[in-house]
Amino acid sequence: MAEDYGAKVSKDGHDVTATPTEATRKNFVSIGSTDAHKIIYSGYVSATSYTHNLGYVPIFFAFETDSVTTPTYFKPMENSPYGVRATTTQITNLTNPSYLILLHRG
Amino acid sequence: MADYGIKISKPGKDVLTCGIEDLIYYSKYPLLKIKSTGTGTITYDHDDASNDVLVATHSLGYIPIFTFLTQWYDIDGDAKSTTYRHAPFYDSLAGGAVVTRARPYASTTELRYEVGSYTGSGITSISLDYIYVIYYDPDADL
Repeated sequence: MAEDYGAKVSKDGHDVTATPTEATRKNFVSIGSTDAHKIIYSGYVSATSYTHNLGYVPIFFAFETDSVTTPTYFKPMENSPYGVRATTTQITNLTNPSYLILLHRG
Repeated sequence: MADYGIKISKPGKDVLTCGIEDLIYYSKYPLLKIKSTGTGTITYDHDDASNDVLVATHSLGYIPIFTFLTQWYDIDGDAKSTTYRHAPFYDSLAGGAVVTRARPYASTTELRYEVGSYTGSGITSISLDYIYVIYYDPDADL
């Protein structure tokens, strides 16, 4: 499909007027016709679970931290049988407190 | 530094002076551009050797970065979990005699999923659902 709509920003050294192809989309900072993740939620969680009720499993990133006001560290949460996991309604097995980022799949 | 580009700030933040954390968009930094997303199911023989399946093909000509979430076999409970974890992971018990592993990987043409589990319970067929996102951005050219 011809891409004669939307905004494009190219990386330094690449022609922004060039038509993006499968092989050259990586040369753009952003392309209006190419999807990108949208952040659904980004913030602290003071519980061991977070209910999103999205109806699908979101892409997520979870970090253990020590405070929701004055954190001194962010540590990627343990990926083990007892660690963080997702369902279509919740993110569970979070440490308390934590910092959570949920992304729409695309 | 080049003084061109586009910045969009969050409400209440001065786009000319605020930090990057207060910018919604800053053209100096590439966004992850999504090539494809999808779901699938891998069915494999538990207590068997490694299983390796094709998840998706692509024609990028370079190795893309990707995100992969998968259901998993809980070796502690000896049962399938319908929750999703980020892969790769490797779980082991009993000094490594009881294991489950999930290892997606990409090449210049494919995204594949290698999975396996062993508990000695005699369970045969296991089906795990997975979710993936492939990006246009290669791991060496961000």
